[in-house]
Amino acid sequence: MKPNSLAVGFLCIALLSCSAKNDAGSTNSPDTQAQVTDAEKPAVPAADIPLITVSASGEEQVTGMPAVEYRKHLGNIFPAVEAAVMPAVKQTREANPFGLRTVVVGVGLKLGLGGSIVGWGVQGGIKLAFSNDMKPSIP
Amino acid sequence: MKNLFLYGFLFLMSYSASAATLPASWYVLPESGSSLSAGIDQDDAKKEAELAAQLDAIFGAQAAALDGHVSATDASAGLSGQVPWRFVSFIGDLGVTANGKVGALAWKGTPAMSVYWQKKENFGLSPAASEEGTTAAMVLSAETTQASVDSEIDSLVKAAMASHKISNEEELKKNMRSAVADFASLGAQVDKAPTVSWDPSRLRVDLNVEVSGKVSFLYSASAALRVRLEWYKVPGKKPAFSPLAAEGKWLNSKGLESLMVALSQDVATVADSQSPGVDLVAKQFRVGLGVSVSGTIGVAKGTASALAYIYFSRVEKKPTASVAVDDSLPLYMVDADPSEQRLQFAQAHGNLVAGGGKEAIYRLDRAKFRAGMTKAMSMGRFFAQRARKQETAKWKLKTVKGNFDLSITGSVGVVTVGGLASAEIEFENKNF
Repeated sequence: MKPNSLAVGFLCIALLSCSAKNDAGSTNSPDTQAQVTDAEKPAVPAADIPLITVSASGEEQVTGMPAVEYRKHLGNIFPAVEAAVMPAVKQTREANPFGLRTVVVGVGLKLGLGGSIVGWGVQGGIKLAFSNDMKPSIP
Repeated sequence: MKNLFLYGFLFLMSYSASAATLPASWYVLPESGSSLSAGIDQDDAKKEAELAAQLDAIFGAQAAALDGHVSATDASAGLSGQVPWRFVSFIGDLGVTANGKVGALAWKGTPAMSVYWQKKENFGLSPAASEEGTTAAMVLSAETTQASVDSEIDSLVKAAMASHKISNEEELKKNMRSAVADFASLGAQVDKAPTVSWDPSRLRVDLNVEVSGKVSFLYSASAALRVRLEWYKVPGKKPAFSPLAAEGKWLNSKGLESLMVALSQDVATVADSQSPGVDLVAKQFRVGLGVSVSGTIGVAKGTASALAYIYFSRVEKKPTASVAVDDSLPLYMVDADPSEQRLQFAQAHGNLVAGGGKEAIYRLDRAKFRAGMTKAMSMGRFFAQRARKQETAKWKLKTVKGNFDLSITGSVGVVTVGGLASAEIEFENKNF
């Protein structure tokens, strides 16, 4: 799949937040939180993660996935979505009075029989937000 | 990319009923008719312990994945001092099934809780005046001039036409102007509400724009575009009924001012009673507004029938003590699709105001509403505190949004994946 076509697909399902304001000078206050050491990093728990899906007919299904596998899938989704979105958002026109500020991409994990993944979509339960705003406002 | 699919979810297992279950009192509403609503679970403490372990597993896996992600775009400020595009936030939704099972929401359904992880950043740029962020395409207030409104509508129409999704520019422009006037007529009333420590600070609508240029306040699955408008209350300003607002059809609607004052009192009473020193605080409360055919405005029963959303937030400079509650002020709920069960329940409990035709109006018990809100605050904080335990060196919990279903009695429960939320409470990590 070409990155650009994927980007278009993602952007079709993205929520776009636009603002005409130019706040390049704004900032978050410097992070003063204590750093978490390697030893304190969260270990992936051994328990199963229940995944809830709702079919078109409204039928609920709860499916279990080992936490380590759930973490691995999230770890694959992050760079894939990032690689698709970044080239697209950088192509926005500077002259546009509604400057693109935030893009939120919904990723759904549609599970088929036997637990295979059969689709992605905006109605999913995880979202990734990208922004060029110092203090992004995430809807 | 293909690798993602190849990885698949081949290791998914057929799942038994081992997912943690919420105590019935957290999600079953009195009018549901379920025997579950008859009483409090005998084993609530056990269920809460199982739920905590379940949430630790979900949040722990999410935090580990975020912490392990090395972004190709990680950067401090660009050469020109501009902030670069980057991955800033991860939002994970949690769902609750009809029988109370809790899990990560994977596909469709209404989230019960949305957990916002945000990356810790330091761009090293000089601080600027704080500014409240907005996701609206158009922001209005009593200070917005007619010329500014006209200019912004022109820009919105141009942007919409540039999307090539709308066929009739003139129709869109006419309908957009009418919709903005209607919205302004609601906003003008927000400005009238007296404030306590929690204030109706913002009004929001997501307009649904059809291909033909038709513009609707109510949700439409066939909408080609959605345009968000927000109305902000200007502190210290007397209500200004601009010519634009005077054209709107809701300027003289019944019940909105009473609703705002009643909700402001109730939310302030509940939120201000939170224990001091807690770093997860209720920041914002939102309800959908519904309008009956007769013009009565009340809380919408479910988001599908909400024509706008009203936000209440804490007024930092107002004293938080001794909010006077006037329970004689009515708080109505407008139900655009009442079931026979709800109508019968309301009749039996004496709070059905109008129930003929295809809609119903109920008068909510405000003491029950305050009790329900207290419960909702506790539930939201429970989820947020589990997430906070999983924070990493790079990612922290920023926000938790809880979606709740309001009972026609005034009671509150967590919304289920097949349900519709009537209210949202946003909790903020004060230590972010």
